[in-house]
Amino acid sequence: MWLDRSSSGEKWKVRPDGEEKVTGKLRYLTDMTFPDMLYGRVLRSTVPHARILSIDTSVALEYPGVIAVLTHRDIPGLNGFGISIPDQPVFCDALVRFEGDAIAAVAAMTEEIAEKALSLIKVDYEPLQTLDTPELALQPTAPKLHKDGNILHQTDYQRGDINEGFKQCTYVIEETYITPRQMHTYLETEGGIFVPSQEGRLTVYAPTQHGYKDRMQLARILACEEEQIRVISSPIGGSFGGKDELNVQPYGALLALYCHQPVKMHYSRWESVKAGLKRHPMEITMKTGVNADGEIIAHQVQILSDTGAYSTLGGPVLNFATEHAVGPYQIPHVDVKGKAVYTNNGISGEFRGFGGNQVIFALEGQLDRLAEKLKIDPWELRKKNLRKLNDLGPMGQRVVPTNGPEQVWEAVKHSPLWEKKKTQSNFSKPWIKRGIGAALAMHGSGLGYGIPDHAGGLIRLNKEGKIEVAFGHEEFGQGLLGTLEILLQDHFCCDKDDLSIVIGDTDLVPPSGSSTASRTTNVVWQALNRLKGPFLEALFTKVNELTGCPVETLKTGPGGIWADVNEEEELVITYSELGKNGVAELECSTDFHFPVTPDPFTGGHYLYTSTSVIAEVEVNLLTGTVKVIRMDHAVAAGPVINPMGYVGQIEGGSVMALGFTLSEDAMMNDGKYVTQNLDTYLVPTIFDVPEEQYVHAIEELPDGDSFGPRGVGEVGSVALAPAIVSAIKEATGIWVTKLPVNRELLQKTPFLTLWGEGVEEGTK
Amino acid sequence: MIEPKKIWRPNNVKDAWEIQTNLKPSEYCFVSGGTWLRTQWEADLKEMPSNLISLEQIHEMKEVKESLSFGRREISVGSQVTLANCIKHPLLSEYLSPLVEACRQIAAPSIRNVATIGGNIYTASGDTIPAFLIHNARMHWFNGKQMETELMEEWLIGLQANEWRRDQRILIDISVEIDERSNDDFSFFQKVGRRETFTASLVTVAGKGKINKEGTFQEVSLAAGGGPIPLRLSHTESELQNTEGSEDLFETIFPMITKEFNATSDPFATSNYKKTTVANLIISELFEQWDGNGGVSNVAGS
Repeated sequence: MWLDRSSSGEKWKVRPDGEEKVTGKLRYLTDMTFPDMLYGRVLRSTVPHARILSIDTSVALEYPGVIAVLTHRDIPGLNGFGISIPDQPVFCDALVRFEGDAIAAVAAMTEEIAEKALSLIKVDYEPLQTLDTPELALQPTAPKLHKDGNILHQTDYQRGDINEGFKQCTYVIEETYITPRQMHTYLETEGGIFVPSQEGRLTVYAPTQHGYKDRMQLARILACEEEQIRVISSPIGGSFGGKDELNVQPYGALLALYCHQPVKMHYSRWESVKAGLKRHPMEITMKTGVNADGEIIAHQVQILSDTGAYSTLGGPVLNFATEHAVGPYQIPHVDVKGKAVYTNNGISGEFRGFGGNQVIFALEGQLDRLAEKLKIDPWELRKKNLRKLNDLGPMGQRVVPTNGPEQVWEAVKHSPLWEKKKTQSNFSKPWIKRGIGAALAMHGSGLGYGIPDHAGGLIRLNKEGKIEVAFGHEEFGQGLLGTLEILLQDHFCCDKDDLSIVIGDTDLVPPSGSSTASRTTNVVWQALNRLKGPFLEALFTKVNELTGCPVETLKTGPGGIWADVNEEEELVITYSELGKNGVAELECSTDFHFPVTPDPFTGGHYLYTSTSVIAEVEVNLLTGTVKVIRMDHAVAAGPVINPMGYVGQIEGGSVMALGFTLSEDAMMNDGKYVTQNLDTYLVPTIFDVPEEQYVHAIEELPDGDSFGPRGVGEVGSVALAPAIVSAIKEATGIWVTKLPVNRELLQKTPFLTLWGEGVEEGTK
Repeated sequence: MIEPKKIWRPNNVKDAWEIQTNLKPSEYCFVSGGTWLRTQWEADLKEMPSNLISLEQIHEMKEVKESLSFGRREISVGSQVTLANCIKHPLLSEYLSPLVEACRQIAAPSIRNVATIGGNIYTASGDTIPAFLIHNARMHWFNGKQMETELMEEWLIGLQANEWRRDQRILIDISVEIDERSNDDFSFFQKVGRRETFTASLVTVAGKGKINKEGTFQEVSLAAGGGPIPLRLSHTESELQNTEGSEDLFETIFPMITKEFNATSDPFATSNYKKTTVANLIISELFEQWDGNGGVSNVAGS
């Protein structure tokens, strides 16, 4: 089904937070102010790798209007953070490992004074060799960036016998693919407000994707009980993984508690670029072989990932890349090895797609190149090797049966581009060339085997007479609020005014795990299914006590509880009246674990979503410019809960992927960002986005599947790059192996080369 | 201590000049829309001085005018005319369409509403410069006593020779001579940036000229930006003068352009790419004029 307004009918709902967002009325947390609020700033290193010889804050401290200057000496607890391994110092004490490393933080009466104070802190450095590539960091003579060396994490997965496998191959393709350091580029840069109370509690108003995790990490730094901290974290102006890890929180919290005053921190775009996470740049070498029948026999992969100075989730990202390097294809002989390497570059971390985007670009590129060797249609080659319903997962693990890859393989043919691919286009301008390409992918959701992946939620009738749900999830633009509203109205047939949705506040919500890994829709769907029965039972029992109406006649509806009386529906009691009669028993909660494979491959997934993308591009040979004319997606993710949110996620994800493919690269030179602002780091504008982009949603799940809707937060971003690259090949005859696409590679000199051979060589 | 800033808003050029005579060069700067200065202040490339002298109240610098000068028709564009107003102006659309196109492709609507022509030129790398160069534009300055006139091309060359040191003069307007349009005329402007819009240019090309029924080029002027300064391509222009279009001609001028256009490499594009792009774009424009004018083409795309 092509998912749009007309096919969705009543389910196409204006999102509850829509009007405030498009009119700019919405106040993000970073728009808030408090009385007597101070302004916090962080002093960052100016060098990528150095020993700190001394830090002198005395002059800054004496500057009028400066209230506090903190360094590593002022941390009551752990001087470190990191979701997976807390190896990033809050403040460096002896060693600087990247140009964004924090040395000190200032709280001052005004932003200007805080800025001035930073310039008055004197730090002496002894510069050390900059390890600005993983290759350099892996040299035996390279200085160690962490006590265990420069390798954060390695993966090694094998099945079959790789050497034997290649002996059976008729064709082998070996290629190295390189992907960029992409930036999340959220609308709202990292920031927050930190408010201490007289009782010694601290309220943190700062975006995150996991409030409880922030609370835990902050308590570790502040050496306090977690309950002393309240994290309020929604609404959020975009995250895409980038605000999953702590950013401003340690500094704001330390300053606020030290000063006993509210402190606001808000990074400029410049500071966000320097200090914030990016997508891992990866160098992926794949050697893949097929027999004469087009069966993939052997597949060998080496992944080299630049994780930057600190770990955050660099390890899990590499696990994910390792798993997805095999993809939806059935291959007997597999050998995947990965290394995530510390360097003095900016920190790489969690980002929509989570390591899948990089390896899927490589894997799909291999399929296209092999098809060319075999002289068969690349789509047919995929079909021949695709997993079947009950096949094992990419790491040989048991997975929830899925024929998603076959479904999206078929569905891509519904795009008009599929037919158009068979025809030849002619253009009046001979230097304009068009091509159409397609790719597919399977993407795991949830955190994966071996990682605690807690889920849960709560429902109650509150005193105001609203059906209230509370989840420890966040709204960062993905449409959680809209999805919850639709799910709740489906379950309880009530008006949206009968609902109250509470998220993003650790004092008010139960732990639900993170809002990451395409898991949230599935978690809230599962939670509500578990909560509905007990909640209705409690509700109807209470109504029975109050009204005498038999429980079996009762149902929820608009405004209150209704009963079938003499074949007529009658309002028995309003939610509001019910709320006034005591709500103590009308609360249910649930907690459970996200579905996980029983087979022990760390990070291995159990639930998968599949996608295929077909894209048409236009290449101008005069300039090498690539313009995407149209892109269509097929997505197999189970039932669609919130059609507008679903389309939004796929469109949004694919526009990010468009940037990843054509323009986005946070360039670094000698450990320093070259693209320091959005004037040189270029995300797509509306003019770069094709006017036509459609989403075909496949809702059918295999018989007996009880896992419901899979999340689609990431899958829209994973398969576009190889489709575009395949289209470029068709248009120009050139294979691209490095992203973003280098125009110089595609540029030609038609006014020279076509005049015949031996006349004059072009400048290229 | 943190210095407060003073903002001056003179309503005539003489007052603007007077304000700065009492200040040291490091203590002030003139500001038009401020869109370019802002980015430099933010990037710490320049320090915001303690006095900002806004030129936006000076009415005489905000007009597009047509006049007669020594019997020649002339259009002058005040330095404080915004890019948005250039795009809307009927005189400019009629006679200086490459300029209008250049303005249209600069930044984004909100920026074009405040950014000015004077500011764009004063950067010495602005995208409007090639569109002015092909018209032999003259710049009119106030030097404190009187008006001075200088060819834009000479100003640029002087600036480069003088290590980009600006003087105190205030740019009042830019003028170009215009002729009645004829059917033989053609003109063009193209910009290549790293995405479709709201991006700095890698290269810009502008051109104008005539091509007669026989396919012969006349009075072609060409300019390109993307090097140290935007430049006229005078050797290529000479080669084209009174020459009939042909594949051989295009083949001949390609290396002339890449030789004449002095490009620089940056983190995003090599000088070789920029040279090839400038040559490709200019020749494609000439080719289309010629091809549409009866020339026979065998050009294919690969």
